[in-house]
Amino acid sequence: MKHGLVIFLFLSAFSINAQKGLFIEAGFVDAFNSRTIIVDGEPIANYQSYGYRAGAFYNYPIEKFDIRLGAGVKQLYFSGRHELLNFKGNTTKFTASLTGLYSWNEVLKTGIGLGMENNRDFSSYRAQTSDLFRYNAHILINYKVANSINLTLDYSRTILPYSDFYLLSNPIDQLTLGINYKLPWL
Amino acid sequence: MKVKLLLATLGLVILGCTKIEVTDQKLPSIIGLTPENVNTKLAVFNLNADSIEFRRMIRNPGKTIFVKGALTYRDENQMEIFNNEQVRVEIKGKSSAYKKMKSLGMLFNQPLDNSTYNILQPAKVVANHNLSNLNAVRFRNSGNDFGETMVKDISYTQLAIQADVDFELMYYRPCHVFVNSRYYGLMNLRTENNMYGMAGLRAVDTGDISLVKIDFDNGNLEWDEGSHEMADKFVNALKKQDAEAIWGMINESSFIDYILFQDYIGNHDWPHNNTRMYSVKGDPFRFVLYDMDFAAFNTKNAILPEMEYLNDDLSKLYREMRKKSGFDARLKQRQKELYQRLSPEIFNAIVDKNALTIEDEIPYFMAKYGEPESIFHWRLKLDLLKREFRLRDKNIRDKYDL
Repeated sequence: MKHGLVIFLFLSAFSINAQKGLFIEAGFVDAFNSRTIIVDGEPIANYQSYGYRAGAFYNYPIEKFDIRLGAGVKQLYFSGRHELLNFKGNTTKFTASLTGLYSWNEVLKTGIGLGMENNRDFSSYRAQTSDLFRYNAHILINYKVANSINLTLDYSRTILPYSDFYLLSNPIDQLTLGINYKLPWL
Repeated sequence: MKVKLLLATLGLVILGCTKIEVTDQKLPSIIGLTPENVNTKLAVFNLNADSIEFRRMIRNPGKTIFVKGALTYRDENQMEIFNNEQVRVEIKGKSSAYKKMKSLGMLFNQPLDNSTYNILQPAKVVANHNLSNLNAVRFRNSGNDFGETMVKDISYTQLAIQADVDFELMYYRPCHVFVNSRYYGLMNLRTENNMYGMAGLRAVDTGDISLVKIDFDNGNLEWDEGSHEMADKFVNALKKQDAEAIWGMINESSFIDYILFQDYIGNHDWPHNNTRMYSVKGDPFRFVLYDMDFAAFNTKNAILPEMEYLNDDLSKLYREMRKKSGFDARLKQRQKELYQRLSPEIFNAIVDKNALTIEDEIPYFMAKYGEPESIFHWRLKLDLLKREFRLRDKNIRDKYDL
């Protein structure tokens, strides 16, 4: 608690950047599995997945660094073939992320961070059970195109759980091309 | 405010989901399907019963209704082995009795000579179990695994059989069942877990059995079937917490294996439910394993430590047994031995084998009941079954440092 207060006061002292505040963001997701997914011993063929992401994050600048705390929702559509059957489907995930960014110049920032999602469907949530959440690592490029508007390219990779059962609907690797906008009143 | 929070939570539950559909699933027609023309490698049973009486029983799963019937059996080569075997039929199960396909209990008018007819011929039988004569069998609908993997309970049962456990269980055989020559479903033929089942397994008269069962509503172990004497004696001793009397009435080896196995698999529907124990002619009570559709439902919690404070009678019995000199050490030693015979690799091989047995047969079931939605959905559920077992195994070993 004491340490938290000290850190908060330290961070507050550097809150001078114009990009401090709440942003909304949206993006297109290209999802893929960098290895073959196996269901009941048989590989999935012709696998494709894409989707959309929307959310908001709070950006807190400290000199050349930014800290971003975000939350949002992601919907992925996927299809493929398993033995003689073609399948398709969709999944909705709620996401949260913490990212640290470094400003190279006035327009370019890069960052790394960690993300968390609901892994099981919420209807399968149970106490004392594994696999409830998914954890990702991600790297981010942020390019400022106007005063309050940035373009982003985000690559995320699953850390846990690494089970094919879940990767079928929510792949290991996800590349998101997005845009964010700083709300002027916040 | 509370309403808004509730609506928001409901919204998350509805939104946070995954939907999969298969676009080119082809299922066999079950119109005109009969025991004679079904294309199968499984045994086929046909129950002939008064159709009005049978329908009345099916429509009232909560009521105890018996229907007279006659059973015909064709083996996996579609040779008719017997016909017109007289049976008394009833719906089995509690919540699972409300599934679209009901479990059907069959009490034979005369014990069925299984050594001649071979309706159940498991590759391995637990020591001291006898399947020569069957007083009763059940066509099980897979309980709460209905429409999911359809092999969960039998796979956990096989795991126990292969581990050479010291308790009773329900042997199995997948089969197709017809009622009045109309397709009823893909089911698991099981030995019974009641007085008739135990008498058959132990090759004794039903009159020699005293069966005690836990009451789901209050968690009390109560007389259920057969002789009252031993059951009442035990119930009274437990009520008085007379530890020494209890020790004399419990087969310790059976009790230890039973609670260790249930704990290992993480049966969420136990110990407050699905507990049965029986005595033969006043011998110490032995335990019966059944209904593991909720095994590994929670993958993390160890149940034995919870039984140190739970209020059901089995947990109370566990606490009384722990007062016995050396009990904890013997339990710990047996746990080490048993855990060496249990593993995800063994379980996966069992599931694969059971799944292979029905993979060409389950399309008939899907055509009839629309569940699982497709073979692909079924295979995903098989993967989840194996995944949850693996997680359970890992967590429980970590918990006990084994």
